[in-house]
Amino acid sequence: MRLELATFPVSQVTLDGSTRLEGRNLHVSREELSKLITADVRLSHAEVDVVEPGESVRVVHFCDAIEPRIKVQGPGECYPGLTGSVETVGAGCTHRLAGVSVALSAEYPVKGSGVGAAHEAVLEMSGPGAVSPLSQTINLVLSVKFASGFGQTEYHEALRAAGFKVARHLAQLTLDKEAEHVQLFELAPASGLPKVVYIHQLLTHVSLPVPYLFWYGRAITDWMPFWAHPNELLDGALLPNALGAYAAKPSSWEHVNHPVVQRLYEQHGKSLDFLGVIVHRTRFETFEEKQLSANQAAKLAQLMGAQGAIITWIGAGNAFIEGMLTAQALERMGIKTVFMTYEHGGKEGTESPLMFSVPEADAIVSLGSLDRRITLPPVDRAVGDMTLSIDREAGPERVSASGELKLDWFLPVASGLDHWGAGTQICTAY
Amino acid sequence: MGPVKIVHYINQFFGGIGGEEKADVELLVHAKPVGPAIGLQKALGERGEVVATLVCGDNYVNLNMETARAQIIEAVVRFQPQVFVAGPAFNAGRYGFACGEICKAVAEQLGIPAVTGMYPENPGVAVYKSAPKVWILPTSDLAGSMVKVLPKLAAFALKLGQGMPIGQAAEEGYIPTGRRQLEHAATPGAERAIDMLLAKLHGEPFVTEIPAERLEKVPAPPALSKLQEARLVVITTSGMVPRGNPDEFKMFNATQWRKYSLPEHGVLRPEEWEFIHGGFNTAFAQANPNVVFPLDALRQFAGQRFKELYSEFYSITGVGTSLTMAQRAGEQIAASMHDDQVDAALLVAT
Amino acid sequence: MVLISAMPQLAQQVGASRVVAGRKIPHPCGDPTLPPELDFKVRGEIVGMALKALEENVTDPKIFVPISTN
Repeated sequence: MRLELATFPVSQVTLDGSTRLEGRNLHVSREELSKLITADVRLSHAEVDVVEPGESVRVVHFCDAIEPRIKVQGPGECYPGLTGSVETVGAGCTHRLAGVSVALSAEYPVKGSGVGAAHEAVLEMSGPGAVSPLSQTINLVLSVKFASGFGQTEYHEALRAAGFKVARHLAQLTLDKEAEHVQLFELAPASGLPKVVYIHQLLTHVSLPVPYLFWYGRAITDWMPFWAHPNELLDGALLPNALGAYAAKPSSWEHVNHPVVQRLYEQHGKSLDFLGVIVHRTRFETFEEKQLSANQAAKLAQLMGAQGAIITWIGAGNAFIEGMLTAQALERMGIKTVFMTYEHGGKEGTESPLMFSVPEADAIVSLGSLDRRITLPPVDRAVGDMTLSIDREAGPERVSASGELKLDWFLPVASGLDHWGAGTQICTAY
Repeated sequence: MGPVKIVHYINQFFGGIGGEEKADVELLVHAKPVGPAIGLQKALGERGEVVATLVCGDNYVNLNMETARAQIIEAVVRFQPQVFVAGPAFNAGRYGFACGEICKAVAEQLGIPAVTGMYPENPGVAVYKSAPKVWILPTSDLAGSMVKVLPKLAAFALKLGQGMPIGQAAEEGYIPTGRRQLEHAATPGAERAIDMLLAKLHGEPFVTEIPAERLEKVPAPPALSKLQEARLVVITTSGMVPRGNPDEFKMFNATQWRKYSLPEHGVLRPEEWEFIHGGFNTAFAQANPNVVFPLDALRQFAGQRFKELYSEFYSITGVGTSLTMAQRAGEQIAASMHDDQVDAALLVAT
Repeated sequence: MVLISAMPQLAQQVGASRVVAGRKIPHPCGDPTLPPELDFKVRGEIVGMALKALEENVTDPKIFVPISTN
């Protein structure tokens, strides 16, 4: 699989009369996008805004962010499954607009309950909560209102389709242009170097009306771990739903700009031999199944010849068990493992950092903490709504979207949990 | 600024009084360096001055904690030091406790920062490592390493006395206090992970960023000898609440637990309850609450296998719960059960 | 105290003294995929085992597996 990723960096996004790309300046017509979005009867209204890094602005009801990517050569399409194509991706040539995202903001009328709930999420562009890689990109925010008379599944489908439609529309602006730089993504033979596999543990749920995670557009339910080529991830084969990009649900943009995959690729042929990715869904509901999926992931790694593995995971205590069991299974097979995780530690950092652990997990990278309080300062403006309710089940009370938000923990902050180590958050022993 | 004034606390053995047989000696105050304090003074050079050495028997301190503490505090006040140094205690348990307790008292009551030294397995470490403004430097278990430890104690004491900020444990060389601070590293997590893996693969040393922990063991309560006479109560972590969620339970990170009454009609009707929980699929429980609160099965056994099911139950939302909250809730619920004269509890986890 | 959990090994690892193996996390005390009478029977077996666990002395954390009469 040989993928050329052609990058068209964007350093300015201007709301303008017509949609066009001029050098690094992306011009966007509000009216054109708005019409494109509301062509779907399920969406009654769309506003288009631009938020920039460092600006005193907050996006509320943040549902997802998408990097405009389009396949210009080779089989399949970027973000496969959204348009129906299920051809294997990861080869040929893909164009991308870098430094920019199409961000979706919408408040679902029915929140739902349990694991299928829509979550409130805020994306900060400055201040202590600006921890997301999307706090560093220019985000074209589509604030969408839902037309009455439809259900949650339909609203979700409509919103998601709108986001990818706009992203594709923008990516198409690169078709007749030359990229600023082209990177080659190919896992050429790298003999003599330690063989490393990336175990990508992701939270999915079974039998939810809106699936949690998609592979080529299909809901990942209670699948066993499977092998993927990193290029498939780069072409957007693995994607989240758009029910709220809170801290436990990385955005589509983050899925294709994956820090572990990028760095393993950078080191491939230099310090290691990057074998590939094991996509490992969690979390099973019985111990036996958890152990089974851990064993199967380790087996896959072993069959592919892995000597080392990096594990990332998403979720809370329940999914954490699979993480630890997988690290244990790998180590028992002699595959050296590093486990990346956020910590708990309570509000003051004086409680246990981890819920529990296994003796084999002796190499852990800390990615910060979930538990600490964070106060998001007031901002000059909020995009997406005037008010919001951070915790809908705790009460219908709404607060000003641009005011100070005193949060009990990082969960409502976009990328508040750095699952994949894109940032530098860490907990240190004092 | 002048030399940092230090008071050094040591036990009867290091104070040259005697061994185990002299462990009951009361406080002796020397207005000069004695025993290891002489070595400490040497290491301090001109930058620090040991203005007093306090010598006390390990047994005297441990068995007369309040009196000894008060006496030592009084002595420290007299000398007005900027820093308090104790030990090092190496692996001596009672000495470790004494050093820890006295350092803690001095820091708490006088606001004077304190540093001591102990072997990491010294039981005093677990108890005192988190005392505010007290730091414990790791030592070997052999008293013969005194010569290595004193310069480290001196350097740390000077830092404290000069009002310099104390950085992270790994850099400053003290035993982690148990407090972990959210900060920013120099490089992103993904990079550090690959570096750590390469080191591990090459058999090179690496340091895990989150060390493993040992959990405290709670002894198993004895079996119920007369289950037939027992009053049983149920605790559910499913976030089961009366419809309308009157107490505003949250979906994650519980900050409360509640006691609710079981319905008089004895059946869990779906329309009367809801489940506030962000960590499991609540649909099954909502359709038939008995699958997380087995009331129908319990009612079958009540009056036969056990005497009665208590008319109230405990509910909490068990997902993303902080350990402190869980411990506190456990203690409070246990106390409540005790008041209600409950004999046994059934905790159903989700 | 007896704990009914779908993750009995985990409960045992963290030191819960009496643990009864439940079915699945969303329905530890039953199996809603079965017809109601069988689901109720499963529930009775789990609760019955929990009561038995209360009557048994344990030293180390112990997992009690409900006996199915199927």
